[in-house]
Amino acid sequence: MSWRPSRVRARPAALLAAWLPAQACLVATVGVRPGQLRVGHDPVDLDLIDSAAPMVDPPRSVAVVAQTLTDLRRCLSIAALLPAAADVLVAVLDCVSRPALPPAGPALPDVVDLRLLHGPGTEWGIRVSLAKPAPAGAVVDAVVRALGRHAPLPVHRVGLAGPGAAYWRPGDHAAAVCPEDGGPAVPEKQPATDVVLRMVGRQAAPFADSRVSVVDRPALARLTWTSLGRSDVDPAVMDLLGTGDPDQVPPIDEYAVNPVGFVSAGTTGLATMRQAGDVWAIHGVGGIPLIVHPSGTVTDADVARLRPMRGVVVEFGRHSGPVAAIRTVAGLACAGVPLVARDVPRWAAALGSDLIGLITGVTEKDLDDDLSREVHSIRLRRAAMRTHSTRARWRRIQSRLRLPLQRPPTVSVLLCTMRPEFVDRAVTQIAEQRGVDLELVVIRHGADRAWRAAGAALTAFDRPLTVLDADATEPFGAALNRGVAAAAGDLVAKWDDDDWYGPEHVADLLLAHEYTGAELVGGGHELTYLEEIDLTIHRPAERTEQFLRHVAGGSMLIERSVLREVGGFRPLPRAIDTNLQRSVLAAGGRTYRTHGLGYVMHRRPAGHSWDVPITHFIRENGTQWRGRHLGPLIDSDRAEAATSRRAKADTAA
Amino acid sequence: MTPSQPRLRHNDYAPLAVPAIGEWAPSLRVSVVIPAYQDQEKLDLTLAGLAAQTYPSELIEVIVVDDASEPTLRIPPVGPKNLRMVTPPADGWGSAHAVNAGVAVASGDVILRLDADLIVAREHVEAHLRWHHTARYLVVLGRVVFAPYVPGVLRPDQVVDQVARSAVATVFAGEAEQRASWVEKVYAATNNLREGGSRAFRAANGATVSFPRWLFDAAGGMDRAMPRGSDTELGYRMAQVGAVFVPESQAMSWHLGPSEIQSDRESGLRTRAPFLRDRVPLLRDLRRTPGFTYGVPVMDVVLAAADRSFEDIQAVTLAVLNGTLDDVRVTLVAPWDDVRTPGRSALRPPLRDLLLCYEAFRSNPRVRFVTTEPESVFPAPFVLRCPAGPVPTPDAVRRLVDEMEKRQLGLLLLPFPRDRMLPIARVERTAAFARARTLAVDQEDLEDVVHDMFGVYWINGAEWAFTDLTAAATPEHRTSDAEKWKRLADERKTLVEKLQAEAARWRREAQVPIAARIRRGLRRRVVRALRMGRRP
Repeated sequence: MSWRPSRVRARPAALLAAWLPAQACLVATVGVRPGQLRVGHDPVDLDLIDSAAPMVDPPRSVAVVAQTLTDLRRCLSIAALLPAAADVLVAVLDCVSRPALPPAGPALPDVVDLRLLHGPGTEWGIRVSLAKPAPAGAVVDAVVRALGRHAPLPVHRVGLAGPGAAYWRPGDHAAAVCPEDGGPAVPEKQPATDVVLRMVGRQAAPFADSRVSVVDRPALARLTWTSLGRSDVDPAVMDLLGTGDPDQVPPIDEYAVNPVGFVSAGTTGLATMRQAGDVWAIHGVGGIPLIVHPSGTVTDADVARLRPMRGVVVEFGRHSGPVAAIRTVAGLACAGVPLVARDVPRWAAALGSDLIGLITGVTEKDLDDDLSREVHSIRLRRAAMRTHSTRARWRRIQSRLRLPLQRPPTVSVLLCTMRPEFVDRAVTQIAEQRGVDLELVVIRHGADRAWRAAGAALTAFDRPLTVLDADATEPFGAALNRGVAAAAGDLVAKWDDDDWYGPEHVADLLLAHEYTGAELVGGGHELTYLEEIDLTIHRPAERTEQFLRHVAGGSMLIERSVLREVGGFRPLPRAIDTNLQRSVLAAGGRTYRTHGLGYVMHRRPAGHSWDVPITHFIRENGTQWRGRHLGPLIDSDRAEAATSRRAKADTAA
Repeated sequence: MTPSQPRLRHNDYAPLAVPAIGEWAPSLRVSVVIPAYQDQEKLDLTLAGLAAQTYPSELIEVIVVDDASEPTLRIPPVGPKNLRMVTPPADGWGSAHAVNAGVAVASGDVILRLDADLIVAREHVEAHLRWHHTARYLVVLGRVVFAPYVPGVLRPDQVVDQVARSAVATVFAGEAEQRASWVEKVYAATNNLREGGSRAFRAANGATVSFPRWLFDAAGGMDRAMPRGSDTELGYRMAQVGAVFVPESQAMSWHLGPSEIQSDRESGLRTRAPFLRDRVPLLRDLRRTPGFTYGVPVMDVVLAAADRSFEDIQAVTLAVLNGTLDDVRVTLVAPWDDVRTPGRSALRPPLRDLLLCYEAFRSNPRVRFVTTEPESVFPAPFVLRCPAGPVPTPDAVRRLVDEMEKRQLGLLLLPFPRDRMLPIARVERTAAFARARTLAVDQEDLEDVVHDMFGVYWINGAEWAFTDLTAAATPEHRTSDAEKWKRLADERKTLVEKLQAEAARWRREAQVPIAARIRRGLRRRVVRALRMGRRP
């Protein structure tokens, strides 16, 4: 459900003149470049206004004009600054994916009229008339909700102070806006926020309420090369550059900028990102160069334009400021845009050593091969999300402030098998899973004597383990449901006993679940080992990183509550995977297909629940390996896992 | 062959580390074979150049083969130390015959075949031989520059001196041919043959080329029935034995006078083409015209004929012969000796079907009968081993040859599952399996070695090349199939035109500013309204 980006550039001024309510109107913009929007009203840039001074003089109507959905999500966190009005327009100038409709929010009362608007290009808008004035922020809230459901961020309630603070907490429905000193403390009442993030100048005001943790970050104006070049160098900012601490960089909104829409084949041309004036411009994307916003924010619309490209060569120059430059590269990496750089300057150390290693570790030529290009993208997005996602940033801020941490989601792995001889191999691979808190539920389907022999790996398994028995007469789906009943994790992963999984398999699914919010995620089926002819084949996926109806049955991860809600698996002997995907969709859930390189289907000559000739898997132009091969991603993941195990053993010794 | 032999991919010799000239210790003995006809003076100069080589003279043997010159050639006073003059057997003539005779008496590990009208640089032999010390399946190609030549000007003793002082270039300074020759264009287009693949042999010349003795023998020596093009053809057969071709620009030589092909370009090509067309299938351009039958087919389809019904074998054989590529041969494998001289038993099963089969095809020049499955179809470059079951579609052989060449594969495997069976047809590259057999050690799987050097790939036999016996091609299929494709091509052409028109329209629209588009739409509407109004 995406709009084809049109090459026709809209003229926002003319368009908005038609869209804007005629009465006295307040126009608030976010992410819109100054001067781009010239309407009869004086626009207010929400990224620049001071949170301490909410706008007075309630206008008859309010228009919120965001450049992209990424910008709209950001302004949600400070939408409390918007006044109340009975007529509200929310417009997105470069809207590349359409919000689901109708938008609904808890705080949107008495809608009398709701009108959808769209321009000749990618402009999209919604105009809401209400029975009586309500905060305009409620409409922004409703539209953002319509983009998709996401789990809340770490830290329950964050206060934002100072212009640009919203960069730190994009898309937070629960965020509050507060003055720099926090206002007077009221000892008898619980504080309104747990943490306050302040954008401060060189002298920050003391914070009144000592029960609230305060995180100070330099105001964006202090982070430009111009201000850094002055003789009286700002010591706090120099510290920031010196330590290369990622936590000093505003995070990436992973719900807006993520691998969704990654194109794995048929891409052409390398774009080059270099400095143009005081901002970064990406050349070679067809037509006019893509100019990155001076704040360094990469938007979903930017990413959509880069998708058909093979990759982006980054030529580090003097961007508007070091933090903005770091943020741009991190944003592109989060989106899985294949990045290459010959070297990364010292001031960009806050990218994180993993990310720097990946970006400088490949050459343009490596991207020529679709498969290695995708592997590079997967590793980039993992590293970038681990370091720069909003979730990761706040988890770290939380732990630095020694606040109680929310438990990361747990996963129950369901292994239901009739074949004792496969248990050891499967359990070994489950034990290898990294970066995820998991428990294992084994269902011995058709319990008989042969099971006593199997179990060396089960005994050695050092995470929570449940072993259940199901009668051989029970259909496979029913046996699995026994495991579902025993599972305690927030999510359930289905594991096929004879297939092969990389050590990051569950972690990758969990990541996809985090950035999409889809109730069911899975990989594509791309790699197949054909035992009959001892050959491994990679069939390039036609579609990957999209909301799709089908995912590989052996690689499903589903929210446990949803699995229970749909009544578990259908009690059938086969085809339970497709049936589950159908039930989730029918229940209003979404299914998402992430990359398929962490999973290899093992096809035996006989004994498969679905029978197709091997030639079904052999297609032209796929990569082939003689013998059993787990593909380039699992290979490199395993090598990395082995290295880190060795390193851990060394430090222990 | 020692296990330490390097395994080169295709024709990419880059992994070989050759020592710099003058900085290594040679051990291989080389026999320089010079076929010569008339022109004693040029021969004298050639031998003079060989007298001043940097390669140790005790490792060099020079054999001049006098190809029935009149008067007979003689050994000059100035020349290399170890020099012999031999006369080829009287049953033939020509340079190929002479080279065969020279190699027959040669004792060296490596043969350097040299023309009798070249002055070679002092490091010529060394440059050739340094490669043969790194791998034992190389064909090294020296460099020839065409120099102007006036008889009687150069003296052999002067040449010895000039070669020893590396001063030959100055003798011909500015006058030697500077224009890039055909072979240099090939070098430029193929990264000096490294990317030349299966067609690298094209660069093989006769003027200065060296190869190990075993390679010459394994390829079967030179074809003396070829008065023209025999060097290229020898190169082709050496490639089929697994050779890798290496151009060596430091093996410099000056040809006395213009080349034969250069001086008579048109007739040179004209006289070579029929010889090469018949024997060198990988020069595909020469085989564009249908109607020829070739001595060496590009593809040999090997079928096991024993224990199959006559109808079955006949259908498969005809499917191949009636395919869209004429350039093919069918090899039928069965105990043919039992039916060639039929006793009464040949009229009863199991021999009866074989007898019918033999009779059906015995006069067909494109069908041969062998009693055991051939390990190699040398000198044909490809073999399709087709098990019972799959029947090639009319365009199968053409597509398979194209695919093998496009991907430069060593082995293509085509599974064709039917009735719970999995017959797998194979297309093997003769050169790849020959090189693999030379280099495999111990019990190594030949296919693994082929995969390392050339690549093994699987494709869907049903989709690609085969059909069932029931749906097999009859001669009518040949035309109906062609009609089907023609129809499809026409359909696609119409579609392409439609899409192109649509794309052009989009392009136009994208360029028109919005205001103009609105104006245009408005005008159209106004015009329409006016017309409507006018209507009675």
